[in-house]
Amino acid sequence: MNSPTRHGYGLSSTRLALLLGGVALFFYVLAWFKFWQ
Amino acid sequence: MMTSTTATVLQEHGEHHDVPAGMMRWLKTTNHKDIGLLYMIFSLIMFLVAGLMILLVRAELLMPGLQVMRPAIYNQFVTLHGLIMVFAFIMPLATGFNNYLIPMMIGAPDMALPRLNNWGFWILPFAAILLLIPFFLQFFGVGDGAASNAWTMDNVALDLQSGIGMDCTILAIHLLGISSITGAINVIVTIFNMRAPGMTLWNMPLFCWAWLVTSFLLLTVIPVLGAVVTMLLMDRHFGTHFFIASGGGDPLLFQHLLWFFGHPEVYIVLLPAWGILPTILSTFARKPVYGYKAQVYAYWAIGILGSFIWAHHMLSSGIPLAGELYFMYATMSVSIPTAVMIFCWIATIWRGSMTFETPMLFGLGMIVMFGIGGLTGLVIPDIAAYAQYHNTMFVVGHFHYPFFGGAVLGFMGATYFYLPKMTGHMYDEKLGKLHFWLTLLFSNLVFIPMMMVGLAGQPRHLVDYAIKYHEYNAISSVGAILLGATQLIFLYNIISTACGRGEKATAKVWEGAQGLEFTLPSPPPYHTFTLPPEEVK
Repeated sequence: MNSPTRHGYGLSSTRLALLLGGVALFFYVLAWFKFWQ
Repeated sequence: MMTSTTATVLQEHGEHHDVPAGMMRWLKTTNHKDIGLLYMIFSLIMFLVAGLMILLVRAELLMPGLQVMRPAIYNQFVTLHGLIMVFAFIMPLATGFNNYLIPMMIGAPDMALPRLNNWGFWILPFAAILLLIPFFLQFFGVGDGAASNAWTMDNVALDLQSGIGMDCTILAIHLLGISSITGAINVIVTIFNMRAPGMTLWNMPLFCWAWLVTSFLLLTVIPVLGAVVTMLLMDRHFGTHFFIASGGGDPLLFQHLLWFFGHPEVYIVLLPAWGILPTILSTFARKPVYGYKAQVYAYWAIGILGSFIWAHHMLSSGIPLAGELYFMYATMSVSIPTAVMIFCWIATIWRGSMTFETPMLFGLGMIVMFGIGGLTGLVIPDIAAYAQYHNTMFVVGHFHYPFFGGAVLGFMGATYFYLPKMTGHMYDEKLGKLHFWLTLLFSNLVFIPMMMVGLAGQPRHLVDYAIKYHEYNAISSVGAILLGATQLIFLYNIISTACGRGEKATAKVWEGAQGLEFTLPSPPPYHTFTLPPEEVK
């Protein structure tokens, strides 16, 4: 593999993965709305 | 043009990464094909485990009264069958196919995050052990068995089960969820970042699109499942009252949160199979896929609409009439993009030069069986009729059509389609066709009587039933045993092909095959597309 990013929209694979992990975390926290209501 | 120096470096690089051997290859592998195969083998084992469980359940239901097992064991088998088939069979199987195929389909050397990929797989066996071990421990006097309150884990209102079974299931769901989320992140990043030059999003095979939508669904709903089971764990052990009415909690909240995950889960299971089907149909009809963009839009429409219709699973729970009406119409509206997709499938084979090899038979069978699932699914959310269907065997018969008739038949077709590519050998075509026809016949023998007996009023989940339901149950049980036995043909065909019994497969395998994966030798080398393919430039 020459580079982990062949195409890319300006984000490296690691950064995109972290961003998507953040999305998952957001939905996890959102589901607890009864707790922080 | 490649210089000699570059070529030497690449060659040395290739030698350095020769195929490792032994157990450590499989434990440490970051190769997408290895991990794909691990997923597929794992899911096949779990398919046999959960299949065996439900055969024992059907043996119990062969006659009214108790014959084979105690009600407690029956409940555990029904629960484990559901949990394993959804979380440890169909989802890992679809993930296995995405791992094996997506990098080759888009001309990438591997998944974007190979180590995360390895980690995502090796969580699964531990999750499976956590799910299963309480079942065996009960025979040694430890705990009261595995989870036994159905795959929806409804353990709120009546405190149905308090032992280690439910706790182990909650922990297993967390592990399975982490595996799904890492897998989903990997698919999205791979598709966005790793496509070969020239492979635009609108050039990708539909399987990649279907998995992209699936991954976004996983990313949004699996965390909610994780949250709801964490809350359940806290209610059970740490004194919180999220779902306990006596402490000010809301039992209905559990259902809302669970079905917010649970209904999109249906599409998580189905979308990958819908994605692979057009490839199979166009190959054996020798025509391009019809309505490529329409199908992509249909995937997104189904994924988005499907995320906002969860409460049709709860129409008898006392939600307000306006809510019931919304969820009824919203649910029915999903049939529009679904119909677009089905018409595209039919248009793909329309006036094609069709041949009926085993994958094509499974593909066509899937259209019919999924159609039955869709049509029986249209009547259930009708709020005027829901009370009659709710909690009956009709629902069990219905949902097995999309799950078994849609996803499982689709992936059986995909297995026959890609087995020559993966192993380098052709499978036994006669046995494949026999497997298809017997599977089609016996699966209907299992699930049609379930719907009939449900309409007649038999509740689901129960170990015993009234004598008047005997005939249909007996037919269903005999069908289940025959269906289970038929899968041994499938198993034999896979193993004998993997052992190299059949004739050598060509690179293209099928006359009408398209796609980058069919430009590679069969089986493909350990490392593929280390340099971007020329074909898409």
